[in-house]
Amino acid sequence: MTVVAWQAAIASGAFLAGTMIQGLIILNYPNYVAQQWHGTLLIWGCVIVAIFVNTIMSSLLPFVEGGLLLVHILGFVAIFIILVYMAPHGSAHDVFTQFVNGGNWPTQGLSTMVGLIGLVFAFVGKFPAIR
Amino acid sequence: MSEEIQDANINVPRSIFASMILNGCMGFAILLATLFGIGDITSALNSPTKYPFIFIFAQATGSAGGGTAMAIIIVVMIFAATIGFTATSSRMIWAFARDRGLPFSPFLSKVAMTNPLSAWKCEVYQLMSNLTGAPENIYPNKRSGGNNSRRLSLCINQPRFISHLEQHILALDRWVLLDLFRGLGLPSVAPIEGRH
Repeated sequence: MTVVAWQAAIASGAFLAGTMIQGLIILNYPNYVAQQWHGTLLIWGCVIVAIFVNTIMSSLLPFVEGGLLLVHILGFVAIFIILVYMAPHGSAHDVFTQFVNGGNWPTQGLSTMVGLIGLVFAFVGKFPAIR
Repeated sequence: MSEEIQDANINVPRSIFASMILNGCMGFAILLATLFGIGDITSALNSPTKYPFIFIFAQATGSAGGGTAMAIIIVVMIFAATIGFTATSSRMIWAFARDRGLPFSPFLSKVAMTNPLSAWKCEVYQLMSNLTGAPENIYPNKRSGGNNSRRLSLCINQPRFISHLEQHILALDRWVLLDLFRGLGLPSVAPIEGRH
């Protein structure tokens, strides 16, 4: 099960990266007509580069990851400051009391539980520890 | 993975909790910032980029370029997570093959023990399963069709991409582990010398 789950984790990581790149292309080139298979090719590209880093550049892996840790912390600060400073500010009432049931689920509670499934993905990193 | 870390039964839970607290705080902060800066929810959800957070960034900075610069950070982090996933997954395959749990186990485990290029074999194995699994990625929108609230919650919640941090901590060599925790002023997870 765990082996299969990790395969899926690679696929989902590459999926997110690939489709986000596609999203950025859509954002920057209004004339670009997005096709689903473009996203798939980008996903494959991400997988291939990831494998390349893990095999040919494997001795550099600790340095790469250490640098990414830096990007991670600094990126958080950068995004946070820009968002707080530049974005239009909504009212606190909207932020804390407005609930959106965009999936048209029968109840708000069910909608919340369905939404949690996506968030569980955030805990994928806990797996190797349990290993 | 844990077997590569010294004194794993103490250090691993420590690093998990430290990263949970750290990432939880960072994630909650960014969540609130995003919610306040979201602007118009429906246009964010229906943005052609399919990722509401890209729309929110572009809207916040007022230009596509600015939004791209911010989103690139996240794309890089997600991609880094993929690299980490790949590393973990190939180790997992190798470990399981040692226990004779996979098809072609003798081949995989033997090659992995003797040949420095072993990683290749694991990666090829994995590439195969990825490619066969990939077609279902073509229509994820249809599966989650209409359930935009879920996608929004998924996209704006930064812990998701922050979460691979602790995976890095576990996967990394000891020096990065030490540096990280020293740098952050967190309780040291230095392995206790002489204990294994």
